[in-house]
Amino acid sequence: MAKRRSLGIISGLGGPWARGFLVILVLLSIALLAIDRARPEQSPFFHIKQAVADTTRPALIILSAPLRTLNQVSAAIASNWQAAKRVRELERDNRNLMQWRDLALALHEKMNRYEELLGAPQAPTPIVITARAITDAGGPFVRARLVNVGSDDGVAEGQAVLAYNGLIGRIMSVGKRTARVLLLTDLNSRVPVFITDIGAHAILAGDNSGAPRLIYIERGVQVDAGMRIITSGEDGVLPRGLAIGQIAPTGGKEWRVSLFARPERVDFVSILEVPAIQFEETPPASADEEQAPAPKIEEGTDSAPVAELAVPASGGP
Amino acid sequence: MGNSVFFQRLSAIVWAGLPFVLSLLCVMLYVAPLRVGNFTIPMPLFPFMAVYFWSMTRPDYMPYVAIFLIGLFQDVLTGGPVGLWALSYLLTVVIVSTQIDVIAGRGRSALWAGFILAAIVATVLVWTIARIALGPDPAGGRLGSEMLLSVLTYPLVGRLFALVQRATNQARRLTVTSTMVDI
Repeated sequence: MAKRRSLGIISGLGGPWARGFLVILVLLSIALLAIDRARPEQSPFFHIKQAVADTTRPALIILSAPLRTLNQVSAAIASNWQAAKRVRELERDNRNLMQWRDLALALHEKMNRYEELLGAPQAPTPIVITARAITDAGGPFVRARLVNVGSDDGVAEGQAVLAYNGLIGRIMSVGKRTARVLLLTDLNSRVPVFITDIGAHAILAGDNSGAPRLIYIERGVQVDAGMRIITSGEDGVLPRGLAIGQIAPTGGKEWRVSLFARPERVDFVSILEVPAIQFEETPPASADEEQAPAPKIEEGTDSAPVAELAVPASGGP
Repeated sequence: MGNSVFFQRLSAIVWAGLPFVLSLLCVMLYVAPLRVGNFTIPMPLFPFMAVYFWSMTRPDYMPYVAIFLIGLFQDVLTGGPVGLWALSYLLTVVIVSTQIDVIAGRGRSALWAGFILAAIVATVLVWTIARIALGPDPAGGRLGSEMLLSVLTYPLVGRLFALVQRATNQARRLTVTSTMVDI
């Protein structure tokens, strides 16, 4: 029977030395755990983790390539499953969406006029960076994924990360060529949200399950299943109005949110960079002075469900 | 002759380091996203399988420092608490190694049975350490499914590791023989 002995660094050390070394390694592991107990953003290994991710990026992309092909093939099969039924559903959705589009255009026109009257500053057009997730959600206790873009591509900490149908998380750490996305479902995720149907604030708290909890709900409001949740923007990190999900029907005391986008299933994401609103320093206008020209609204992106940040200025059939 | 001996020794080191490198690749494969249709499939713990396989069959190819580094690499790459997997792997190997006489050298079935024991030990350890490190409710329901999947896929993955092990043994044997001829 082969006995355990050490190679390389501790070459030539015998049994007692190996056992002593084992004790040191165990103690070192415990020490590392004790140091790294803080929240992910405050971890002393924050930059080391990102540097390792940057270094292993090419290998991760190569290793995930065959799996990506498998994912695409299975997705194609799933997509063609009951195709006729799905086409009927899509046609129905499309008819509904046409009505919503007309309403959105009418409201946009109305808001445009109010902004002109008020001389409101121009809403910044968000910059969207498209990225691909190169790792899974990170084991049993972590809900964070690596994406293949980093500071070289303009990604910065705190930026919102969206799938086509809703927010999935925010950028937690950034390397040169990779960034780590803390998903809404992670144990450490806390996002201030707004319940649109009743105009109440709350906090969306991840707990590693598929449906994050809704905590610190404003007192005196009647919460009900099906109510829509968006970001409130009160943390100053995520912009206001990003679609998140709706309150799930639960029998218990706590409320949970059924997310529109499933963070673990998303392959391509949009990272949203919202420039700060630039206020022009103008002297107080006198009554007979001509009103300041209204800000021009640029065309927004069509990939992100941004409710109050970028509204398509033009459109129509 | 000097050059020849140097390259043979280099070759021996490369072969000896293969299980470690393969284990690191297993970590990267473990974090790769896998989906079937609209479902996310949990990945088997390939690095755990590699650590177990070499700890039981050729412990000299999987020293404690290698196990520690593999665990640490998994911690860093997954973004979890640093030391969680490193400590769990080390303690699991130490515990399961007490039964090495029953597990190793008795065929594939014994190795698989040993892996089931190792998976149970590892699950308890990882859960306990995560509970201490992350708080009272780490909600790692996925750990059980990953371990179960690891147990189910071990016969296949273990066979692949055995093939690598056989190639390594042959290469080392050739290296040693040719070194002796040179001498």
